[in-house]
Amino acid sequence: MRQHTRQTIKRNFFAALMLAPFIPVVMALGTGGYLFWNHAQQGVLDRLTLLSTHYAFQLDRYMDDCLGDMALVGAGLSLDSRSPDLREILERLTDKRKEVVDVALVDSSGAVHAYAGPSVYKGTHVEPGRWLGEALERGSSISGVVSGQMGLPHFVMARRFSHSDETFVLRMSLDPEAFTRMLTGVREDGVDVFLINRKGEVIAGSDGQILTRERELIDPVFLSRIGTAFWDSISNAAYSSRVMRNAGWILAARKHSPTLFRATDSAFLFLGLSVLGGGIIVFLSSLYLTGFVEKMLQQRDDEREKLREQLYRAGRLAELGEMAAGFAHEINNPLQIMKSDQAYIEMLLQDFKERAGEDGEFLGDVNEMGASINQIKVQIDRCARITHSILSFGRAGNAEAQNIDLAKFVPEVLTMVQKKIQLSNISLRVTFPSARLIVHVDSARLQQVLLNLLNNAIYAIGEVAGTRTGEIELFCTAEGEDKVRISIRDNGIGIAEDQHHLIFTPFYTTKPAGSGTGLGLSVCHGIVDSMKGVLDFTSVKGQGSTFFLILPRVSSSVI
Amino acid sequence: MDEALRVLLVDDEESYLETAAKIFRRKGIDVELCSIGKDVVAVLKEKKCQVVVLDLKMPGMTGQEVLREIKGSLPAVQVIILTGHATSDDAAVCLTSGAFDFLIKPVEMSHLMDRVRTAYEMWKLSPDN
Repeated sequence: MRQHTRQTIKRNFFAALMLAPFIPVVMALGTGGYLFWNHAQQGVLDRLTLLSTHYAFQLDRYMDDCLGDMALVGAGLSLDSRSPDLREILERLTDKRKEVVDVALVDSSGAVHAYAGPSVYKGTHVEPGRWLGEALERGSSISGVVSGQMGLPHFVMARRFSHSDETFVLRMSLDPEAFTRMLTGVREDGVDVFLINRKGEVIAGSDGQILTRERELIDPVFLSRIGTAFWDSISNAAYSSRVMRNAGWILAARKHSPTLFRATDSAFLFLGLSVLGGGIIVFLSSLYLTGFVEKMLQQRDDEREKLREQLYRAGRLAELGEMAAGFAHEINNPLQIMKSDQAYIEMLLQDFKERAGEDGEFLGDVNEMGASINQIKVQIDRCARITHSILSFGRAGNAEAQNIDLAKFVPEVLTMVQKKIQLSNISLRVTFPSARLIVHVDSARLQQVLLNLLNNAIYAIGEVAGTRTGEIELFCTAEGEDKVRISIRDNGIGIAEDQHHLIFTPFYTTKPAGSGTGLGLSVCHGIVDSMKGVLDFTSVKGQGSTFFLILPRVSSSVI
Repeated sequence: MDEALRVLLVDDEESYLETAAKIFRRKGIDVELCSIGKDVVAVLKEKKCQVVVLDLKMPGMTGQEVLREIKGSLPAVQVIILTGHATSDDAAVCLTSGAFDFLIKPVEMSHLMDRVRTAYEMWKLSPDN
């Protein structure tokens, strides 16, 4: 059950440790990622806006240039002949701009006064076009791109000028290849730039397109947002467009999302690796912490189990002590009756002896009866010893407590067993610290405990006599600030592990019947307990035992 | 004035009382018996015993109560406590209440008689007798 609980705690703790850092990380990554994506998108849009503005400006300037040149040419024309030779002018213009195809001089009615170009112009009037009206009205005009008479795509630029109160228009055809050349210069990664008309038809593109249609650029989504920069999730691309001053054309820039992602890819890779690295660190530290906590739980459980065991044992000992004391009290009364009857029989036997006189046979019987009665007396005394031991076991209080200096007291106790130790051929070693160790207890009782432990040690060594030299070591040490430890170690027979829990139980003995009451250690335990001390032991079967008592220490400065 | 030693044995165990009485009498000591605590003082007054051997645990009045009653009305009488219910606390209470001795059952009858004789000597020395 406890194992199960510990497993659950371990699992939950591990999960919590793993999740706790991940939730803020995911939130931070989510927010950061969103912001980064927005920022990257905005960056792309800004870049596209810059590009479209730049190219729109360039193309406008180009057309302004053309119109300016035409104004200059028109002003310098000598119209005395009314049909001047334009070949020289065409040459001048094509010197500067190779895309100029032909030049024509037209009056306000559309009549052609002069023409210079690759073909021979035979008509007298130009084909009516919007450019003429527009040029007459506004001063200049730029047409859309058309295939024209020669079947080659071209567009027309027209410039109005006056000569002797008469209005003329200089008309110039140009190859839109000029625009394509200007736009193919775009080197931006994944960016397409287009020059388109109001219908979305491509006049020139950075990939060399001329007079084509880009599906996306004729889409209402794009056409309705001309002049702005935006992200279209359907075509998955970013757009920016600028309306040019001349001809009402539009300069559009487009960047597709895969190329947009390329810029962010490395950032996301870095982030991913960071998260992975962080995750591994979190996982390992969680694993370590969980292991640590589990170890602590295990330790706490073990301690609790040990404490429970001790409490149980102490409770059981107290219960047994109380029971045994009551039992002893009850036994003492009949013992007294037996004792008095035994004394009375002895008296009677004395009378019988006197009356037997010379009757040898009767005297023999009386003597035999006397021996028998004596045996009863011995057994009553044995019972009395047991009950008296039990009573001292059950006794409480520290009747005659006094301060005892262990360095003086212990050697006195040792002299009582000195002879026995010597006779058993046991070597005895006694160790004291330099500091004085004072305890406040009943000296007779402490003596009883120490003698009991020493006698047990001698007995334990006796059990393995002949196999090794007996050794008893007694050492007194300070235990922390306020306690004293007296240990008695022997290298005797030791106590089997399965007997450890029985050692302080009343009437438990390993000695043969009649040699021990099984009360010695339980009495000692009771005595040490009443001294507010602890009596315990460690033992290995076959190697020996160490019994130790820990008693409250009296500070030597108090004395 | 020397009166002959007369002992009152008080115990609820009548078989003990009978045997003990026989032993005391054989040793020439006059004995009176009583098995009920509350009768003790009356018997003492009537029989003029100098020494009482008193059990502690008896039905009705306990030995300690009997002891206090004896010491209250007949302070010279010497009381020897003989009990199976011996704790150091009991001994301390009885001795401070004026008991001459505190013996734990089972006790050698010869030892008990020795203590009785000594108590008798104490009685003789008592100014109250």
